[in-house]
Amino acid sequence: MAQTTSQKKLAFQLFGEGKKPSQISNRVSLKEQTLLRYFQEWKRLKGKEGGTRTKGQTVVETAKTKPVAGGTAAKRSVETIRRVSPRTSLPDKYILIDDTKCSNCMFCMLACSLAHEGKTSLSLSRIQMIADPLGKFPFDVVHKWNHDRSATPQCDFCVEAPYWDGDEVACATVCPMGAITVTTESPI
Amino acid sequence: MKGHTGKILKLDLTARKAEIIPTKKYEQWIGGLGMGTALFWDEVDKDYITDTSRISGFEPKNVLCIMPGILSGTIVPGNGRVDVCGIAPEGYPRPQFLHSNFGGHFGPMVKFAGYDGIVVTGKADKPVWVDIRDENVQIKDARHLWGLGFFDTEKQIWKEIAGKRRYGGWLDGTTQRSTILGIGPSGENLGRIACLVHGLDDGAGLGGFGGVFGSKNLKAISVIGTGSVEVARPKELLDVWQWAMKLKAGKPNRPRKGPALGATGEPKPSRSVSCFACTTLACQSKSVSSETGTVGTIGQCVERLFYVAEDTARHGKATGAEAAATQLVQDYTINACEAWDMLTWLETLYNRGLLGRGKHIDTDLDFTKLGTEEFVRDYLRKLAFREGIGNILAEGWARAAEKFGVLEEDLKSGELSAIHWGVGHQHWTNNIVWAYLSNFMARDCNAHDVTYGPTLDQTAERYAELAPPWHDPLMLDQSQTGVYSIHTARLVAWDSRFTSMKGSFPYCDFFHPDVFNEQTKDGKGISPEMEERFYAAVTGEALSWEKILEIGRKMWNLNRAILVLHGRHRNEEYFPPFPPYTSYVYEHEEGRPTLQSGSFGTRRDVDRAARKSFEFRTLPVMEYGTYKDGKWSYSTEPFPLEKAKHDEFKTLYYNLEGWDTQTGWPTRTTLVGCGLKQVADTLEKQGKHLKP
Ligand code: SF4
Ligand code: SF4
Repeated sequence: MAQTTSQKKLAFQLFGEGKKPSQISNRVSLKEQTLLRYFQEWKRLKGKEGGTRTKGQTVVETAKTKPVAGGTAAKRSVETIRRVSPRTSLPDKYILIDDTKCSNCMFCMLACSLAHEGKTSLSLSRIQMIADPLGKFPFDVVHKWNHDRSATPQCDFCVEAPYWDGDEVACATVCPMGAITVTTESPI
Repeated sequence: MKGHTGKILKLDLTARKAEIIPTKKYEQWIGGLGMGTALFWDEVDKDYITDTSRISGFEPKNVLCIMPGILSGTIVPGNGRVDVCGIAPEGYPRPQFLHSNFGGHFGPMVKFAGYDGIVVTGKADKPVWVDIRDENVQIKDARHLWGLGFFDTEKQIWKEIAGKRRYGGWLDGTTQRSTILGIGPSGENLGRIACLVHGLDDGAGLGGFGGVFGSKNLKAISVIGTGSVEVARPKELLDVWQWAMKLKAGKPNRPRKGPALGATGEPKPSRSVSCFACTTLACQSKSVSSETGTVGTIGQCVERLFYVAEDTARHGKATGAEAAATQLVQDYTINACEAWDMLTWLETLYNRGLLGRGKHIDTDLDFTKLGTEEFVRDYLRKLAFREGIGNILAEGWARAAEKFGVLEEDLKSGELSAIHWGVGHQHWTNNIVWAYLSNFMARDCNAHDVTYGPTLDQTAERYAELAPPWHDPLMLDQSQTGVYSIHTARLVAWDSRFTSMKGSFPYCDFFHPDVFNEQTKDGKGISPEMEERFYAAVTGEALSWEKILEIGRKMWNLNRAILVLHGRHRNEEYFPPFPPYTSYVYEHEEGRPTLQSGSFGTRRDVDRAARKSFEFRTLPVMEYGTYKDGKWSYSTEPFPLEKAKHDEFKTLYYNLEGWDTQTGWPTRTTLVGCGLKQVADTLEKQGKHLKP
């Protein structure tokens, strides 16, 4: 038991130095699953520093319009999802999605469900890209955040994603078209 | 097993019943092509498929398997393809069992709905469509859909599913529209050239499976899946994904991103559109035509290309007639490969004075209008609705040529280059392996598995690495002697195994294998490590490259056994494979394309000036390597294939595969060695006496 505790401490210390579970797996004697669990725990604790997580940590905001490639027809309203981090050291973050760039590959949705739930599913993803194959460009793909559906958890900026330890959020990392961007500057 | 959902959905349309077949028994077949072949074998009446010259493929007894694979629905790149197999009416001289496949989002949705595949048998007494929403499967009346084009069918089905609700938010546990696979008029009218279409432009073209849907009174299958695919090691899968994508794994000759290939007067703005889990290829694009405002034309492949040359030749630039043609060919669900090759062939008939009003082939199809939108509308309508000459053309070009009395002449001259068992689509790379492989199956193989690296040394070395047990670098020697050698036979055998498995996982043909890679230090691609690692992460089980190829061999032999039942024999495996006709392939004349020119098809190369500037010509014309005195050298010097030597080659190949050299049939030992003893017994029972 003591052994485990000290291993956990060591892991937390290394996480604090910015190391990822995969980078320290040979420095601690812990099972991969356990290590990943500790990483989640550590991320949660870190998020809590100085305050409790409140509902509404993730909010959806609608920016006015943002011109995108394609001229007049392609003025789209850009909905952003925003992480508000009250009283923590983490800066606020926004995710921007440019629907006009989306190729409808679904990688973002697969990565989101895989990172959080450990299986792939469209319905379990926080981010939702919705295509109408017969629709007219650029209005044939829209995105949606599932804040309006209680059955699926809200986007948490991959803070509690047990299977993800990437530097950036999962969906933005896997998008091959560069349609998803994470920013700390308010787009509004 | 992780990756599989555990259930296969069987639709018996005669009884209007949906049943479940447990996947367990078929797990060894991985999925897709392999599992489809095994299901077909088990489900089909063997008397029905013994000697198929008596059948059309439109009988209720035909079994159609629509199969995603074990990786479908996961995040593994290139898993969006779906294998479709069954008796293909288009086959010539007789309908044969073959595989076609299509991309898009259908396969993964089938997995999310909880199924490893769909098997369709029987025939509904009235038109039906199948509404699948997870475990809720309903066979519904489709009389109101019959007669509609495919796009209207989709719209109507979406409307019925949504009712008063609107798309764009959550509906019954998903934000997604249902994915639909179905047919337009060409399929309803039993076109042997009708394909199955999904979404806007994904289609299973070869074989005429659209006509098989039509014969079963099946208009469409619509699927909504709100479930998930279980993965053994999620984190590892995400890691392997990032590793492979960082290295931009895939083929070097991948299509360009964005709309460019072939089409002129390029419409903008546009969207690159991809299949489910496609990497950066996004080989299709959706656009608004700058000329006509035609919306929603996507596809960078044959459906997009088939009328561009005509439009351009007439008008000096593409005017939008080509875009209209693209939309129409998909809405009617006509195989665009057929529509294209048939058109160029009909044009030669017209130029030879054989076709036109009051001519030998009497038709009001007006070739003076070729290149206009009016012409292509008339042409495609005739094909789809079997109007006038269309009634003959809908039978496919080999049967049409027979009916017109020009089959022998045109096969000999090369005007008609239906070399791969009458199934439209001519091979794209002029690689001898491609040609041989197609000849040993029942269609153009369309397997882009042999790609050339920076040097022939490297190419030979890499393929030797990828091809156990031989590890033979001379496989790449495609010289005048090389093409008849045991080395080439090994490359054909390797390709048959790899490509069977590629269709089973499935992996997109444009993506796998990663043989060369500019991102790695030594320029080596990351296959087979990539395939092994993805499989392990998804299933939690190890599958070595050797084992992958071994299972591929088993699939290839089962496929062969089905062809043997149909009547396949050594004495008909020639180019074109319809004895007694002689073939232009073996006869080299001045100016006539031979093995090393752009395609076995003549017409694309000799057509009018406009076609010469056409990008099709600049697709890689394959050089071939010759190994002599310890050194590789390139050559592009064409040479004819000699029939007698081709014959000797077959003996080498059959021996290598453990097939009887007299008949070309697998021996009993070979089948038993592959774990196919029951298959051997069945062949015997059906009167196919195998060599021990
Ligand atoms: S940021 Fe993370 S949790 Fe949010 S949608 Fe993207 S992948 Fe999902
Ligand atoms: S990963 Fe990017 S391109 Fe693919 S569906 Fe998501 S937003 Fe669209």
